[in-house]
Parts: sequence; C-alpha cells; structure tokens
Amino acid sequence: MQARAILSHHRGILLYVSAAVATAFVLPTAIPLYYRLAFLAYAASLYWILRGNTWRSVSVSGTPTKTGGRAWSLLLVGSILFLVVSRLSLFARYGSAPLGYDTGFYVEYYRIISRALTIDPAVITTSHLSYASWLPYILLKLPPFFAINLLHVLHQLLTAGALYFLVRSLFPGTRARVAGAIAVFLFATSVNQFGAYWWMFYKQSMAIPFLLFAFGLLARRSFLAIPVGAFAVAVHLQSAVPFLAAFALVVISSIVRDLVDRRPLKRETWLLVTGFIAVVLLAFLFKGPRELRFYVERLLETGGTWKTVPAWRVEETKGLYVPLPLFLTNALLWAPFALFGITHLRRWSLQLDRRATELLVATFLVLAALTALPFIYQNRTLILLDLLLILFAIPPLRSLFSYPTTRAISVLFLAGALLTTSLTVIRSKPQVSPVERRELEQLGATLRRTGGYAMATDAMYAPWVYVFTEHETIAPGSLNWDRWELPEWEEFWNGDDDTHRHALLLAYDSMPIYLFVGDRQHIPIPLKRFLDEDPSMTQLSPHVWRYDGWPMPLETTPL
Amino acid sequence: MRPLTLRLMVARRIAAWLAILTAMTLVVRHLGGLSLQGAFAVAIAFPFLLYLPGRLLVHAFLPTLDWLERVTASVLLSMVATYTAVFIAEKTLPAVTVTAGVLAVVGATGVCGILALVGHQLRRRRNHVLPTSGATDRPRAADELREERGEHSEE
Repeated sequence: MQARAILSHHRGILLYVSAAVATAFVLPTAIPLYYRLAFLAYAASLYWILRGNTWRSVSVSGTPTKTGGRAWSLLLVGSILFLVVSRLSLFARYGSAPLGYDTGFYVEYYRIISRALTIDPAVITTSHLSYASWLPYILLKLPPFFAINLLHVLHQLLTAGALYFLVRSLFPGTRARVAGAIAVFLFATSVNQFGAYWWMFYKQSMAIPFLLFAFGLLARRSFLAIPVGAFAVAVHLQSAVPFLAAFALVVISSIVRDLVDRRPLKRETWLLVTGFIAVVLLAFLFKGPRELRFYVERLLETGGTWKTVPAWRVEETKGLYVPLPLFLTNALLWAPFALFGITHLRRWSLQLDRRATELLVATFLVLAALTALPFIYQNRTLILLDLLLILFAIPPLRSLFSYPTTRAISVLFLAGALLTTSLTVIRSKPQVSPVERRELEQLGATLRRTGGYAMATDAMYAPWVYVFTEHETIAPGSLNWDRWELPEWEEFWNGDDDTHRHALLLAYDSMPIYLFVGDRQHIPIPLKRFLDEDPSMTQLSPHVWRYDGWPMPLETTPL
Repeated sequence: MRPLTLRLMVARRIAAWLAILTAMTLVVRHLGGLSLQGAFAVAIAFPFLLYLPGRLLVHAFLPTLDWLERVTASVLLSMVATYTAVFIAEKTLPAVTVTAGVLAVVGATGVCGILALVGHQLRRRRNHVLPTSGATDRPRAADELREERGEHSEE
C-alpha cells in the first residue's frame, strides 16, 4: 500500500528518469559513455531546476513573471529572422542547388510539366495536387530552380507560422503568444527540422504546415479544418497518416465513452465523426482511384514494414532521412524539456481543452509507435515527431524562461540552441559541388551534340546527373534508362574482369556513355582501375569519363 | 473613425502594398533572372495567388488572429483555394493555358469572396441574436480584444 502511494507520488520523476536513461541508451554507438553520462547529468539538473524552482506554476497561463512582453516579441521576430537566414544562407554560399537529394527529380518534373502544361499520370504517379500547384508558377515563367527553392523556403516559413497558430489554438489565455514564440524558436533552431529542409523533402515540407494548421483549426472548432485537412492528406498521404490515425483514435474513444455511459452520442461526437468522414472523402476525391491503387499496392508489397524489402531498398522504404539514434542526438539540448512535458502532462494539460489534450496524446502515441517500430517511412515520420516534441517542450521552457532565478540558464539554453544549429548550417554542404555542376552542364552540351548516355555510377548522384545534363541518364535503380539489375551493377562496380564490364555496357547499343564519378561517392578499386587504365575510357574532366564502346568484337576477345 | 484618420490609414496601406510590389519585382528579377515586365507580372500575380482568397476567408471566419496567425492563415487558405482550382483545371482541360490559369485563380477568389460574404452575414446575424457569442473560433477572443486595447497586464 505504501509502495503504491510512493509510486503514485513519484510517478513523474520515475517516468522522467526512465525516459532520460532510455534516450541516453539509444544514442548512436559511436558516442562515448562520458557523453551519455553528461547528458544524464544535464537532464537531472534540468529536472531539479524545473521541479524545485519553477514548476510550482508551470502552466502557460497564470504564471507570475516579470519578463516584459517585448522580450517575447523579440524572441518571436528573432526566431523568424534566424529561420530565414539559416534557410537562405546555403543559397548564398552554393548557388541554386545546395539542397538535398530530391531537388534534381523535382526540377526535372517541373520541366516536364512546363513542356506539356498538364500532368501525365504515366510519368508522375502520385501527389498530382502538389505537382499541379506548380502550374501557376510555370505560367508565370519562373525558372525551375528558383520556383522550387522559393516554394520550399516559403513552406518553412509557413510551418513556423502554422506551428505558432496551433500553439495559440491549444494553449488558452493571453500568454499563448509566449508559448507561440517558444514554439517558433524551437522550430527555427531544431537541427532535425533543418536536416529535413536540407534533404529537400518537398512534398512533406509542403504538407506539414497544412497539417498543423488543420490541427489548430480543429482545436478552434472551425469547419475550415475539413478542407485544409483534406488538402494536406492529398498533398502527402504518408505525412497525414499519423494525424488521421490519431484523429480516428479520438473519434473512436469519444464514441466508446458515450456508449459506456449509456447515453446517445453527444453533438460533439457526431461533429467529430462527420468531420473525419468528410476529410477522408474529400482526400479520396483529390487523390483519385489511380493514386489510391498505387498506395494500396505499395502497402501490400511491403506488408507495411521495411523488414520485408531487399537490403538495397531499405533506406528508400524508411523514407531516407536520419535514423532514430541520430535524431535523438540532434535533439539532446531540448529533449529533457520535452520529456518533462510528457511525463508531467497532467500538470499543464489542465489548462488545455480536453479534446485538444486527447488529440495531442493520441498523436504522440501514434508517432512514437510509427518511429520506434519498423514501419515503412519510419525515419521520415521522425520529422513529425520532432514537431510534436516541440509542443511538449513548451510548458517547461516557458517555466524556465519566466523566473528571474533561472534567467542565466535560459540565456545559456538560447545561446546553446542558436550555436548548435548555426554550426550545423555552416557545416552543411550540397551533395553536388559547384565545380561538379559546371562539369555536368558542359557534359549536357556535349551529349546534345554527340548523343549517347550520361551515367551516374552511384545512386546518390542520379538526380544531379539527370537534371544538370538534361539528358538520358543511366543510374542504379532509378530513372527509365537503367537496363541492369542489382547483381549486374555489383559486377560493374566490384568485378575483377573488365571483359564482363564491356559485355554489360553493350546493353546500351554501343552508344558513347559518359560516366560521372562524384567527390562524395566511394569508388571501388576495380572500377577505378577500369576508368584509369582501360583503352576505351577517356577522362574528359576531373569527374567525367567517356566510354567509346567495345574495342573489339566480343567473340574474338581472348579469355 | 474620423475621415482624416481613415484616409491616412488607406494611404499607409497603399504605400505599404506599393513598397511590397516594388521589392518583390526587384527580388524576382534579380534572383529569378526574369525581365522587368515578367518580374512585375509575378509581383502582381502573387498576392492573388497566395494571399487575397485566404485573407477574405480569414476576415469572415477567423477574425481574432494576431499578425503572424493572420498572414499564415491567409497564405495557407489561399493555397488551398487557388491550387485546388488549378488542380481542377488540370484534370478537366487538355492543357492549362495562361487564360485557364487566370480564370482558375479568379474563380477561386470569387468563391472565397462569396463564402466570406455568407460567413460575415451569418456572424452578424448570430451576434445580433446572441450578443455574447461574437467570436466564431474560440472563447479567448475576449481576452485578446482586451489585450489589443492594452487592458491586460501580461508579463
């Protein structure tokens, strides 16, 4: 009985300690023990500060504080400025293509749509809505790189704004603005969010502000949540699934509660059910049967998990991006605040609307399950989890910032967050350097003159070779011109026999092939030797080799 | 409001919009490599594409937002309206020409305008019947109105 009382009394600290230890334990294996212990010490200190000093009135509204309203406005405007500078600085340093893997594909799609002024379903299978949204910019004759980058940056700003809107919808009272300012600061300085931006997950970054906005509208009980939610689902279904699942959980729990209480369904429950059905139906209308069939086939093919796919497709099925341990490492500075917010939810959720709390908890549970278990898109879902953890970190941070006794720690925290993200921004480099880009553009001009193929010898460079040469590109496992399966690529990369390499290249009709080898790729020694020594290879520039075809008829080749 | 104050407010707004148009034209010309006419066309088109339709909806259905919420909501709702219109045009026409694109955006703005008008009328009627339920979105509107008037003692 006494043990139960102690457990009940100290449940918060027990949960917090367990979560902090689990976080320290899950960090990447390369991180030494003293680093993990330092994190635990940091987490323990923060617990002591939050619990002992300021938690007595941690609620977002009603906390006595002497901090001026101007300070919060400064934090908000400063965070937006930092967001803009951190997102634009890469363009200033590296030109128009400093971001991620998918830029190349998106630019090429933009060009295809520009030529046809419509979307061919055979070329673009999914998310017609997000691609159709480019048509106004195409009609205004905006160049592809400029249009896509402009929209990508705009989506970042909208995400900050939508997060602010959501926080102001969730947290009641005039102090919701304070919570909003903290949310925007955490978003702007989140290394994980910067990583997501750098990877150029265009459709996901487009869908996220709509999802957050729909969430906020739902909390405000506005009917606009329905069209906005459906729009978000249609833009990027994979990002919307966790929110839809959480929404479904809340709807089901409402129905069950009404049934258990043996009373007719409440008006609010009916509204939730109707709203959910309307969102799903509208999203289905946007998507259409062809796109839906694609998703169902994908789901049946994988069984909903990346465990069933071949090794070379695992990263793609996980949705690229960083794995959970690295994600946690990036969030270590503010993770204890999020943990504190989660483990002491009952303390501050009293200030929230009951339905909003349910939705928040349901979304957290769904996202935690989708990121901890080997579901498809596991890594990509971490971007959404990061946003939710920001929401949980707000009340403890608000508490820390509000008290003069912890002002120094607050300043240290702000400086630490700004410094960490600034270092990440400074260290970020594009996948393709300006020199490589120039070579590829020159290669494109050559290919238009001579014909033949460009070849990316590593999948990482596939979109870049394709977009900068603007020519038919052979690439491992992607684009339409690859005639080899994985074993043939393995043979091409690692095989000791150049005869086999020549035989493989014959599949491309004796056309000249221009092989591109980038600075960031690992080149196997046998392939390097082939490039440097084989008489059919001519090095045209530091990264480009020309293959002039089989030097002699295949049947006369001495064995 | 006194006529002079109103005129000043309108003049300030026009000046702000002109400044935004000029800045946008220059930025698009410099970064997008467009001609001056092309950049000006973009600067004129962007507010219709990314702001006006949503602003009408915000005015009618979300009247108690602060500046950041208002701008975000306007842009997001505009995107929903204009992108959906263009999406429908793309699905129904063999190719989306400039005329079709302009008609789609104008149509989206028109639909938002009508919705805003209906929403505004409904709100007025509801306010007339129930004077205490003016806020359409949430009960904290009263708090914020007080805050805007400077009657709060926040922080």
